[in-house]
Amino acid sequence: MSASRIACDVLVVGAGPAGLAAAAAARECGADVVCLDLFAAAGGQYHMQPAVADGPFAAAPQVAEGRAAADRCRALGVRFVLGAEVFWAEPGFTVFARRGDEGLAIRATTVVAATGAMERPIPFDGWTLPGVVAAGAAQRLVKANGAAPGRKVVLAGSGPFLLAVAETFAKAGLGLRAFVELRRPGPGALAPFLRHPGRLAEAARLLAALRRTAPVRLAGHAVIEALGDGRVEAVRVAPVGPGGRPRRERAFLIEDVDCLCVGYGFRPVIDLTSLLHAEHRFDDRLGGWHCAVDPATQETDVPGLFAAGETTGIGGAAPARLGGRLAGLGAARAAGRPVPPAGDLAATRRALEKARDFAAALAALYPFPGGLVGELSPAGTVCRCEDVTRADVEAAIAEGARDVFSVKMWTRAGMGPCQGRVCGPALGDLVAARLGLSPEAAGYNRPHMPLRPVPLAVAEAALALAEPVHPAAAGAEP
Amino acid sequence: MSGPVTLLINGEPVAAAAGVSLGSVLHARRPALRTSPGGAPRGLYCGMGVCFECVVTVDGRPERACLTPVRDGMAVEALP
Repeated sequence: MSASRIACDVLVVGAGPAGLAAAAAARECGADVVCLDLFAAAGGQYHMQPAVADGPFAAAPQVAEGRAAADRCRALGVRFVLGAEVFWAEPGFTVFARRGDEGLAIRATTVVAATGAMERPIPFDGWTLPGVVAAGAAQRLVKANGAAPGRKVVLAGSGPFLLAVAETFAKAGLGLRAFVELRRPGPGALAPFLRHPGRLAEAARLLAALRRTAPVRLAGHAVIEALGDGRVEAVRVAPVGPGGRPRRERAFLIEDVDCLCVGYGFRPVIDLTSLLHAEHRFDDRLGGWHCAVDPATQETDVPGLFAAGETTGIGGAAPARLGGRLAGLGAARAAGRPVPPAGDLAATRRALEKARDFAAALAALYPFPGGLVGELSPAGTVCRCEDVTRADVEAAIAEGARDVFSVKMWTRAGMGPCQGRVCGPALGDLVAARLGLSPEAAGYNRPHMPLRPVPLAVAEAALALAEPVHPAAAGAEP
Repeated sequence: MSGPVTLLINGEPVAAAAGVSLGSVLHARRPALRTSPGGAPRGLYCGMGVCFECVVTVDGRPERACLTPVRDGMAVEALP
């Protein structure tokens, strides 16, 4: 197994909007910057780059902007490490990653965690059936791969991202069998746009695309079950009552379905920041658990560790870019590089505040329906990796489990290859609801070595390159 | 991008556009890719490398299909 040691002033983990902005800003200050990402092309999910060059997305603004941001980083001299996945990190900082068969040990004076977001799933009966995919996965299939997620697709869930996915289908010339949104449009729907009229055109464009591509549109409805023999074939949908609960007595089937795409929004990816012991807070409006930062500098409570973008709370690409810039400048300064003019910083902070304000107003239209997990039947799967059912979770609580961590010890929920990233939020909601706890008391799964599955030989090769943190400990080695 | 590539899925030759993810090719063919510890069929779910539901055997090694670009001659074992 090969392994490489990389040294830099600033390591940016994640090459999405926040990471690219951070990398460019730090490099502008003269810092030696490495930017690492799991995907083979920089851009993250927002700027995802199509594999098919002649498709309908090759010239899309989101694609072009991402490419331009990455090109700018390259021109500035940012060193990209792509196709690499972080599996461990030590304070001070050494970050260990796997790139194919190669182990990497990256020594950095400061770190910017721009690790982005992932789905915040709500388990429902049948959600493990093949053909049931996350809304983000459907978008990636269409946009990046030029593939149709199915021929008869139901798109369901809640939130503005569903509209973006519907637009992706429309652009690719793909129809939707049905569109199912939990919320009903109310008089408050215009509120975010009163303070941010510049975003109105985008909303109108998304709604027009939805009308074009989905002849059946159900507002105030939720998918309560996916049915099928070995793959999804039908979807059970129910209207939602005033209390937010699906009215099962009025449920009906949408048949002749070959794909169900479900999305209820996103959660921050916090494994790196929680591994490095930064403070995290819970706020449903920001996707749940997120990394706390000083809004002026984006620095966490761990000196030298900065965070930006979705890692610090879901808000979309606009705050991500601005927070990324602040984080990059802060990380360069903390690595001993010259301070940029204060005027630039103040303007960026004001713009970030405004972008966060719009994101918060939009999020207020779609409060996270965490209670929906209560609709899951006892035999319904909570943890996909380990096949842990709701009944298993309830039994653990009845026997004395008192938080997410103890439920994991009892049931293995969260011990599989995804390390509880997928089931964690729902597990937190189930535990909190059953025991009447706050989300803080229910807690979340702490990261363990390795953060992601990694071949032992690769991990060994990378870890062997670590510089000893304590010279005394090094002397004690045989 | 270069022209189409041919990969082997359970020994059967399948053509695909160069550069696309193995996950997209497998999903279009048949969404069930593997079985869970309890034996239930599973397929592509998150599509971005987080959930590990699309792990299949690629040239003898477990890989996430959603993160693996197709290559000419790649041998893939998934659920039949």
